[in-house]
Amino acid sequence: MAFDADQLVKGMMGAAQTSFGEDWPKAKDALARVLADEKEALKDIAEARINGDINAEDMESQLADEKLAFEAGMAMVQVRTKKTIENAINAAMAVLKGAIEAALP
Amino acid sequence: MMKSMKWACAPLVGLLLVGCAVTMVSPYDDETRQATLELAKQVDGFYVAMLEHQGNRDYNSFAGQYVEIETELRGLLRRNQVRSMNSESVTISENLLELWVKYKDRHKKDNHYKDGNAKLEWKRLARMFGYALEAEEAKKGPAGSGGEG
Repeated sequence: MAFDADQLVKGMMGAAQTSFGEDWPKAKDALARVLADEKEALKDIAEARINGDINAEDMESQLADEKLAFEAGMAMVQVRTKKTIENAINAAMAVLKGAIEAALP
Repeated sequence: MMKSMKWACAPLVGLLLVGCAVTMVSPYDDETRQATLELAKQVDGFYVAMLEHQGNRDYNSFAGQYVEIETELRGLLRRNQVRSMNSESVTISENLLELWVKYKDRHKKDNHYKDGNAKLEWKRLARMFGYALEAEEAKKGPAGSGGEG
């Protein structure tokens, strides 16, 4: 079977784009959710302070803890992003594999 | 000549293809997911009991649960640490453990746990367990791949 490099690259790009198109919205949504969570958490802390449920020292401590929570959220987003890229690369590689296998005698 | 060249190259191509799957994150691990779910449930139970327990919230009444949950959190961290390409889940587990120990130490020092702090901290930890679970779920293979890796 003839090996058409142009067609192969086109196929690989198409596969990567399809995979990326399916996964990327999930990564974007995850980031939006982490940011919305953080906004709500900061609002909760402010309200707790205004209502007198926590004192100034508690508020400082709560704000410091939010850094760790936000970092955890961003770590989750990073996994989603990496997996999106991994899937796209592997989709392209699957096309390459198929093309090479088909070209083999 | 050309045909024999192709046959000679076949094993090389095969080797190339075997190693061509790119891996950027650790494969999905259902045991980690289950352990995280179980731990999130334990922490929920801890705060439900805490907020029910109005009045005297002395440390000793909760010491057993603190030790149990801390031990489980350390186990979860270790489970994540031994997996390759898993730095993000390690970060989440480390942060959960750091906060849990901080809250335990403060409770021990004050021998009391304020409602205001308990509500904020419960919500925060629950959110972080949610991130840990979502990170694990995200490691599953692409839809239709039939695998979890």
